Amino acid sequence: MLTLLSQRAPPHFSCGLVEPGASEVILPHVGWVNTVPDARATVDIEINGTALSFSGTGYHDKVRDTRIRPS
Amino acid sequence: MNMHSSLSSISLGLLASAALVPAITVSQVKYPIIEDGPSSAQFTYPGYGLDGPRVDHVNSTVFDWWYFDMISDNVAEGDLSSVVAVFHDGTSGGFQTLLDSPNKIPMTLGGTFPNGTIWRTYSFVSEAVVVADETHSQGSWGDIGHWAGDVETGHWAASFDLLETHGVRGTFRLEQVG
Repeated sequence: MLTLLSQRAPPHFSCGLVEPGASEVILPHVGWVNTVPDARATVDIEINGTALSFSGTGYHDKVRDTRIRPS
Repeated sequence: MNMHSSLSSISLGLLASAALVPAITVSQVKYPIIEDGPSSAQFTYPGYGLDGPRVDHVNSTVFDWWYFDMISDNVAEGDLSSVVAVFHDGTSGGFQTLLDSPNKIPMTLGGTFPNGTIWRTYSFVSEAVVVADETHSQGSWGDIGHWAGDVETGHWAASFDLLETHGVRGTFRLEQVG
């Protein structure tokens, strides 16, 4: 039996869920947080007078990179 | 060229969470974002400010960004509508594919129309403001782009106004699902 405990895909790092002390490293010198893995999206944009409006799937993440080695 | 002297007259600032001071939880801290000298980045989650800044300032070797994308529900029916929005806290020095503008930080918007035609805008601002607390975050890229969201409610929204310079303005919303 499959029991779904949440209706939302939770934010996560590359190797685990969001918990204090968790590593955000995904590659050497690169940190990644998948803040919104899956979302319903609503878009309403005007581009040079042409409307671009739609509903669909959305995603959000946050990335940082540094050439110094993380401690 | 001395980076400090070339940038010293640029008014760039960033309001951020105290994510780089893990022992303290406050709503905002202000510091300049483009400076000469070393910058440090955070790679361990402190337990708050999930979507907050993770570099203490921007020099020529670091970047931090907030990325959003959206695609139509009806791709299988031929509707190729899509949008990609990226709020960059970095310069071409830290992220080489960015256009060369070492004194300002970019906001990029692009995507495809329903028929697949590609559109894209590339704008620079001289100041970005990001505020983050335990669950909420929001950012403003000058007067042209804003986003806000909350990891607890799963609601996110963004707006941008480049009508005068690029003929583009609009909004998008994300409601987190599973």
